[in-house]
Amino acid sequence: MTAQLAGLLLFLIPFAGALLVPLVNFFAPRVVPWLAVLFGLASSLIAFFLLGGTPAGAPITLDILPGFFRSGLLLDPLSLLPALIATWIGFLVLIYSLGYMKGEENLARYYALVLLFIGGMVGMALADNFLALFFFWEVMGVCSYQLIAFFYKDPKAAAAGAKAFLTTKIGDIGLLAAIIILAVNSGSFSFSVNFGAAAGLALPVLGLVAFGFILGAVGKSAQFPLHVWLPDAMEAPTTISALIHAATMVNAGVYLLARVSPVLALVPWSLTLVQWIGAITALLGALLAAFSNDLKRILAYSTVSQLGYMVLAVGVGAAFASQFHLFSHAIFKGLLFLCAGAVIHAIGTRDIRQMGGLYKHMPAVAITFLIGAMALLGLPFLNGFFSKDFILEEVILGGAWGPLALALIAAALTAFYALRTTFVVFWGKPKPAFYQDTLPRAIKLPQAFSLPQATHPHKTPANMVVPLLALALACFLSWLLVGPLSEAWIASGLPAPALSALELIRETFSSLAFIFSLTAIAVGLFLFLQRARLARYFHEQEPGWIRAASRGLGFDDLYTWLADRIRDFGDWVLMVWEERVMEGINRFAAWASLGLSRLSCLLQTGDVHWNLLYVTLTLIVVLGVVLW
Amino acid sequence: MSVNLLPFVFVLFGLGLFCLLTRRSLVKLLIGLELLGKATTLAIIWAGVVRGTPATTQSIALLVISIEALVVAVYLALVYAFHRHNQSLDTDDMRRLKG
Repeated sequence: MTAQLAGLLLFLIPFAGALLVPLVNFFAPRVVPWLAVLFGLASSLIAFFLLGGTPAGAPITLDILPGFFRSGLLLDPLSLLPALIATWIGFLVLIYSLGYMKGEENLARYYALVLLFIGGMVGMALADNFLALFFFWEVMGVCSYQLIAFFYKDPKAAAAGAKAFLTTKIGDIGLLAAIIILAVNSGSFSFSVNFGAAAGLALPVLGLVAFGFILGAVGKSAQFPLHVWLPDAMEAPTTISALIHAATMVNAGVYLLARVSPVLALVPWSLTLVQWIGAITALLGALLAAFSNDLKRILAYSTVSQLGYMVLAVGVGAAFASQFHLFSHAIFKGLLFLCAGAVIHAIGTRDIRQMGGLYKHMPAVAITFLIGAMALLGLPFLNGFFSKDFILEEVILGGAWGPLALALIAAALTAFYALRTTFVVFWGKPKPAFYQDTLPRAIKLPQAFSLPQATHPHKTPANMVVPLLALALACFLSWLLVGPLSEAWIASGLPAPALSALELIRETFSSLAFIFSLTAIAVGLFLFLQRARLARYFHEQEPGWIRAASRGLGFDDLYTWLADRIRDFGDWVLMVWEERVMEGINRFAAWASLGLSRLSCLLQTGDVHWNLLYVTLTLIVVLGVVLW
Repeated sequence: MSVNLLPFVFVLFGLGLFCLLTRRSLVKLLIGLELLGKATTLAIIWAGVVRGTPATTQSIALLVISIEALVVAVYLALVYAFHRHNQSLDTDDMRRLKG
């Protein structure tokens, strides 16, 4: 099997699965989940072997519309990494869903959408031109909208789906605009042609293109200021919100930025913009995670924050560091979400204030969650430590001190919320939260869909534990892959430092970033240990910004206000159009036809003599014309 | 033939038209109409004399006369119906179609 065929199969298999699942559902609904798992397994295996055996830059092309549009596959490490993550996380989601979604309705729709989503993500990553990328990008968008609103009978889920769809659409418009400008300029959609031709564009136009790409990535990756959709997306089943959105789809934006970094490099201010967006997002996400009481929301904000780091890395020109962190993050965040799913599945609530002492009931979940949280805050020798320090080191080398400061504050907050969440959920006593009780409950916690509130936790099914153990192991080991990864990058001509795992260790421990991040962790630990004092402070002082933070810092309010103004404007335009323009046309038509009929009434005298006179006069005129 | 009939035709036509435009009685209108018809018939015959094809035009004139007889019959029937309905022959009573 050639790499080309394998690449093609990689996204055709999930698509075929998405097509087949609804059909099979007609006569054998009980087979559907297993069928979906099989399709997921097939594509993830192909992705795994493809990563090992890729010849450097082996594009294949297919004539989609002969003579007009030619699309192909781009197989390089940059594109295979998102594909690998999508297929593997997708496969784990499918296995996990066997237990998690058991007994839900409309399972065929669920599995078909998950498979379609996997196919879309892989297609997006492997596309060698902007048009195909945009097509699969939108396939992902539609699937994500449908999956967030999967429990569509719950109005909040339906609203969250619509919100995600609309918010990401803002970014999509930017992406489409950038693609159109590039395509008009070069007459082609292909990456390589466009990257060559982009240098010929005027700087303002190029700036517009760069801004469009950044906007697209910001929307899809839930970056500041379009991050608002991701926390709401947690209305979806945990499998979806966790894995599809937090661990997979949001990578698309980072991938896009890494892919178009040659264009961004041409616009001086764009990389600075990307740095600041990433740093602000990292800080904002960590802050919001620290003040959230909804387990899935904490993880969602945490994802936003970690994506901020990746965007920051792209902004300092370290695409490899960003992808390395993306790889680590997919593993530890997938682990955290799966643990959260097991917890929610077991006790039927998402409010961490009602949790506590769960270690006794589910030790495996508690230990794996702890491992994931340690990787998240960057404890040495876990994968998150290496990749995050790599990013910070690159930021230091890039001399972006402002964003670095924000990123370090974010790292301290990350340590704080990771520790807080882990200990409150698994070791603390079930008790009111330590500082948020006096605050308005900004987030109304729904009961986790159909599960009843249970005092005695359910046991965790085995098919939910196996992925946890696998991912926990991967948290310890995945950074060892840095050597092969960087070799593959260099082999396909992408900028990456040549690093082996040993060199990575040496570099990491001897760098300034190591000290910085250890300090950040220490500060976070200090904050965590002082949480009782913090709680008292917040109780007594109740600073305004805390209140704001618990409400998502007012972004939702701002956007609601904006949307209302836009709707008011639309109403006004509609009013003018209906009441003035259209009604005016109606009135004029009525007036004109009435006037014309009055005029023509004059002709109808009803008097036979006048009629005869007109007839005579007409005849005379006609005669005169004929004779003359 | 040395007499020119054309002025006579015009006079007859003018009288018929004048009658149609000024009289109000439906019967008088019929007379005016007949005068117009006769003027036309005469004009047709005179045209045949002038062009030297009297036989053709005279046969056309015969046809016109016979058709006129039909027209008169229909006209009289309408007038009769009108009279039965309105007990009047005045055209001032026929203004229901005024716009």
